[in-house]
Amino acid sequence: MIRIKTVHIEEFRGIRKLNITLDSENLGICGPNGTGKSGVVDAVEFCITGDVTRLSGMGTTGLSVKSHAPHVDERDHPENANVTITADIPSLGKSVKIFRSVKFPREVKITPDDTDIKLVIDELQTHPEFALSRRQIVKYIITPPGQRSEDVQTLLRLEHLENLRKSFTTFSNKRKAEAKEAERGLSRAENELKNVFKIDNFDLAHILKEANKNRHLLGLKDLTELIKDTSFKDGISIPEAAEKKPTLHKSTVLKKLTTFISEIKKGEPSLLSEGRQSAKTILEKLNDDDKTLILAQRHGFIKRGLELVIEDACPLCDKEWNAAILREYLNSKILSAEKIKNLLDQLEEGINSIVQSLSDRIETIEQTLIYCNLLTPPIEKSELSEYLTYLKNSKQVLTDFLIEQSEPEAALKIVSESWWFPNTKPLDQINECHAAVNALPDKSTEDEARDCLIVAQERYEKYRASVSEEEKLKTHESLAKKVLDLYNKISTGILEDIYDKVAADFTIYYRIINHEDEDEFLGKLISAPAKLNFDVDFYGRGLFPPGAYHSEGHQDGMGICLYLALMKHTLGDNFTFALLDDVLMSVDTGHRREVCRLLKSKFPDTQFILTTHDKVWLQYMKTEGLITRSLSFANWTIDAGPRVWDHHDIWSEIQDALDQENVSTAASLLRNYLEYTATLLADNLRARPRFSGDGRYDLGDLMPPTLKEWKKNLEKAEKSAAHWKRESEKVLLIAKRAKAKELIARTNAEEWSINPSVHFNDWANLQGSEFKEVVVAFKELLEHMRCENVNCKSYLYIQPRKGLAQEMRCNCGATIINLRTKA
Amino acid sequence: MAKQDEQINLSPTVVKVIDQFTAAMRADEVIESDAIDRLEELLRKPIVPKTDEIYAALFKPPQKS
Ligand SMILES: Nc1ncnc2c1ncn2[C@@H]1O[C@H](COP(=O)(O)OP(=O)(O)O)[C@@H](O)[C@H]1O
Repeated sequence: MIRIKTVHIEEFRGIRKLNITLDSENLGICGPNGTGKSGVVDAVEFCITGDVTRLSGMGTTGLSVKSHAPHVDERDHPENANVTITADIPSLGKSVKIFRSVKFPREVKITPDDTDIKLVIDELQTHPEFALSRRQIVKYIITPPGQRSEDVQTLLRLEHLENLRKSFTTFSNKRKAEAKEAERGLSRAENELKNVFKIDNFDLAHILKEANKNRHLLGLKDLTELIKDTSFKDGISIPEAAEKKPTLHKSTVLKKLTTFISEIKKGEPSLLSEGRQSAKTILEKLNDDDKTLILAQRHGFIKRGLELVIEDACPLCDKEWNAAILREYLNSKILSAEKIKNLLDQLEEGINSIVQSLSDRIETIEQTLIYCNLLTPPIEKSELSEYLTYLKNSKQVLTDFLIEQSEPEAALKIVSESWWFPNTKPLDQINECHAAVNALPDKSTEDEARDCLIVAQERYEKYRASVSEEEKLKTHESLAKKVLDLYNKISTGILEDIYDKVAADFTIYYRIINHEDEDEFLGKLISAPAKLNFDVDFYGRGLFPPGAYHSEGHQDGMGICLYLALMKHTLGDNFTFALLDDVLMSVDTGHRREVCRLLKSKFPDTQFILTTHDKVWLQYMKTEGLITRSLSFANWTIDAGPRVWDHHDIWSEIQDALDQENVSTAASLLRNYLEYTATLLADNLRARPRFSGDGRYDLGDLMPPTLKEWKKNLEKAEKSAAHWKRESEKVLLIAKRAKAKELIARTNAEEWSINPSVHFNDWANLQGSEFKEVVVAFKELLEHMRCENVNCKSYLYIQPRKGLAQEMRCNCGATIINLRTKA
Repeated sequence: MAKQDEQINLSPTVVKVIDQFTAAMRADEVIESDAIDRLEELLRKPIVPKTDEIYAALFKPPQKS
């Protein structure tokens, strides 16, 4: 993998032109929503993979990289939308420049074009999961096991395994259906053969005996056994004309037709009608379920919904409902996995019995059609043929359903229809055929015996063919099943192995984040073909799905831990780079430092780019030393894109505006910057602004109490130094506090709350030179609140965050101001 | 989709599964070794084989003309 040094973006998403320097270090990007942070994430992903998940992933129908990745004003000029990354490749000790244009998203330009470098970039291209958004994270945690299995496999680039499993499963189902059909074919062939000799049970010895009786009558040699090449008609002289035309053996045909007609008259056999009824009930259930469940991501969604039915109103729209009734209703909709399995087995049995009856009927009709043809004159049979088409189609739909187990609606339609009674017209044609056969002249005993043997021969051949067909397809069936079972066993084994390792890492990471309250925490991934259950410990009460009891913040934390564990597994030492897009927004404040520590301690060799809309969160990342570099995004406009600054540059930018006599721009720059800084200083120094219910604070709300706190703490520090008799420190601190007073006075900031007329809102109306004074005052004031070490420059903050304040310090440790007056 | 698949090589885990799977098939005497060779060739392609292709590999030796 790579470590990014610079990113250059042009006309991409909401960004017009932007240069970012990372120098292979972590980077934090902060800005309110809609300021272009994701544009950076997308640009990096695009440059490396040629794709933008946000535009091509699930639920993005109608969006495409080519049409929607360029800035909207350049949508007809994808050649202007380009991203260039320069990076180090630690494993090779080389540097590389990667360039990609939206015009040719599949073409990446790599300089230098070395083979080993190309290999690294190719490899990276197959791992778009280095970019992770919150939407994706939540996915791993709360989705139902079937979906999670797919998602996690996608992350591990293993969806291929799942697709293979699907292919093998369909393959095996098809062989099963074929074998079943061959079995039916064989049983029909047996029936036909035994019917020629009018015997009740199929028994080859019995058939041989009956055949020999006929041969006796014709003065022919006995057949000794029935083997593959046995010919019943061996020795019979058959006129050439008769040889060509199949024989219509009156008594057999008559028997067949008579039985057929009487069967129809007897009405639908109870076995069939019961089979249809049971299949119908199950299919109806599935059909209903399908509509609700498939639409709503199957069970998972309803189950999750059920969990949310705790109050007497919808948490989304506040519409009132009766929780008890709703719960009952939802429960009635949920079919547990085992129940569904049982139902499907039952359904398969029912459908198989219907298919069996259909096959028998199809065979009889086909035979009847042949008889109709053989008679002179032939019997009109168009209606009967139509009936046959209908039956065949019905059978097809049902067998398809057994293979794919989808589209219950079509199968439902078929099982609801009774086809036992043909309509009047086809029935008339059957009767007509029967009458015509009955009217055929009776034959002499010898002729009868000869016809019998000729027909028996035909049917024997068919029987033999059916036997070998059935054998072949049964072998296919068992082989296909063996292949599928082997595949499932091996892939599940390998996946389980992976999942065990991932779960172990996951557990370690999660404990780091939650060490104070979930030290004994345990997470488990349990895999089955096509499913991945994810259960986590809940305060020692047992293992449950994460969505069951854990708060959203904890689930977010789990998401990142699971992701990191999966990435570590997939990439190992090559996990040198990751983009986390607003991933940790609901991890609560108390756990954010631990997340920073986790990333820093467990992934010291991974370069992270983290975006957040929360300034304080960004500050934590800095305080914890996770990032040293950061960018702030603000004031996005469609024409100019985001206004971006890294924090060392703001003053020259303001100066530029002033040089152009543009006081209003300079004023808004300063105001934005101070708003950002005030937020983090307020947090650092534990300032006490007037509480705001919506959590919004403007500059006037934050700056005065923050500065007050600064002075107060310096005063405390003085007292502490006096208490511990550290005279030289005390002198310095007194000077520092005096300086603070002076600087604060120059900015006028303390007056804002007292005297609203001297207010930052008026800055834009100042003269250039007047405003310049304000700028210098703030610059000096802020400088005064930072560590003096040029490599640190962090704003001082109070340690610890809660409880008695002990010290005011910087990140590097060069500045530590004691606040304690007790040991 | 298919186009994209073609460019992507099989991941090491997928390769591992295919290795072990074909080895297990070979260990099973019932399955013809030619059939396994044909199936293996299919599995090592970056595209997931269709069921009919699996069928042809396992049951239909290619006709030599
Ligand atoms: N192709 C595009 N052309 C122009 N503007 C875009 C394009 N894509 C996104 N935007 C706009 O860019 C702005 C920044 O979006 P985004 O990067 O998603 O912000 P953030 O991640 O900071 O919330 C949004 O106002 C968005 O509507």
